[in-house]
Amino acid sequence: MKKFFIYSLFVLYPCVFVFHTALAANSCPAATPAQLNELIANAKPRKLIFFSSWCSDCLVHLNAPETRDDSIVFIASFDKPGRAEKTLDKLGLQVKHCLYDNGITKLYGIKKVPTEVDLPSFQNVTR
Amino acid sequence: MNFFVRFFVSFISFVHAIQALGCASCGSGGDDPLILYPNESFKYYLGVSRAGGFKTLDPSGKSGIDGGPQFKDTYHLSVGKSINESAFVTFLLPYLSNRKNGEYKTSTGDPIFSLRWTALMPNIAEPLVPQVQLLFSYKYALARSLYDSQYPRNLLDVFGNGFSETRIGLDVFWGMREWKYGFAHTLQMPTARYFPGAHVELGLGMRSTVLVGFGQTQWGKVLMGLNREQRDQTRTNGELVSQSESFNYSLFTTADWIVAPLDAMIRATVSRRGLEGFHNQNTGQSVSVTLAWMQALQ
Repeated sequence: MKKFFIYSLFVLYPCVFVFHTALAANSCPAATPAQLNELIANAKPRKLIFFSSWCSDCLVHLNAPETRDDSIVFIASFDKPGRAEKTLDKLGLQVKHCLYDNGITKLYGIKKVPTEVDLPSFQNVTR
Repeated sequence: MNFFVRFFVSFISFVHAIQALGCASCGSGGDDPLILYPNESFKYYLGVSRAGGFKTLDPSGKSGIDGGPQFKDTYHLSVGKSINESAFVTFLLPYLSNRKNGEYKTSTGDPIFSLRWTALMPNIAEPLVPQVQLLFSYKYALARSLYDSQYPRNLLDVFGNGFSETRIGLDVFWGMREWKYGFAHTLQMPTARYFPGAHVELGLGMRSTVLVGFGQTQWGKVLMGLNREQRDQTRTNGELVSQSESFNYSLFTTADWIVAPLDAMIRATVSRRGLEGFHNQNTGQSVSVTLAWMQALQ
């Protein structure tokens, strides 16, 4: 019994933790406007959601059922690199498309979070 | 002579903290009314306030002679610039107007340069972890003080306490949920000054704030807080001035309304200094009302 306890403490629990983390691990690589346009062209998403880890209102947008929709691109903005992934992981959310803003907000005039942009209108703006 | 020194110390403390700025981040520990969120890179603040109902409180807390103005109007201009997502600097320049019986004098007040660094960012996934900000500010004694007054009869030309001051502080705020609360502490270190015949050192000061409030990002927030200000004894020519330490308790209420289309906010603050029922000493009582407009331009 004692051995099982020690075994579970040092081996089993870390394995479960690593497995859980791996399952929930999000990735939000830094993306330029050009890279965003490339993603839009390839994945044909229907909406962009700009969010921050410190923005309390963003939680509503992140927790909305539609965020499970693969056709949404999340863009971590006005934040430190790496915080968006950690936040999504802690919230237990797994999003398909997540980018870290590298000039997107500046180019498209996004000044606050949360901001939702329907893609057709966004594409109009870029033109 | 002793009475004069005590009155002098009371008045210095009174003038020093006559303006009770409600709350900042909020946050509370700063004299800077302007706070930049991580998405804002340049912001300005315009405020107007009127303080009145002045009474001077002596070392025993009793009302003393108040020879100063009836009203003090203050116009605040503050601008803030972000350094990165975690830090920003602000510059505050007050312009004051003292009024009494139809007479008035105006002057620029003491400018304040501030730096705020967010050591711990709030996170929507961890609402119980507070935002922790470290503050640094420097107030330059530009305005005329009691020492330089040319109107000892009504002190209408006294707009500052005459001492430059360095301040460091800590501001802790739980703001991720609708009910918000926080506390702040600021240490105030004045610079000694030479005046004709006297080397005056104000004592170290400490301001502590606790606050609670309710807010939603769509419309704004309402906060109520209590400030406690303390200043150690003054030294004149190296000698401690007896009973010169000061205490002041103030209550403030602040309401913020968000003007979303303009990325702006309207703030109203009502503050009562020298709160009844608390131990106030060598300080003053007053009521002030402040209206402010702040807007992020970038």
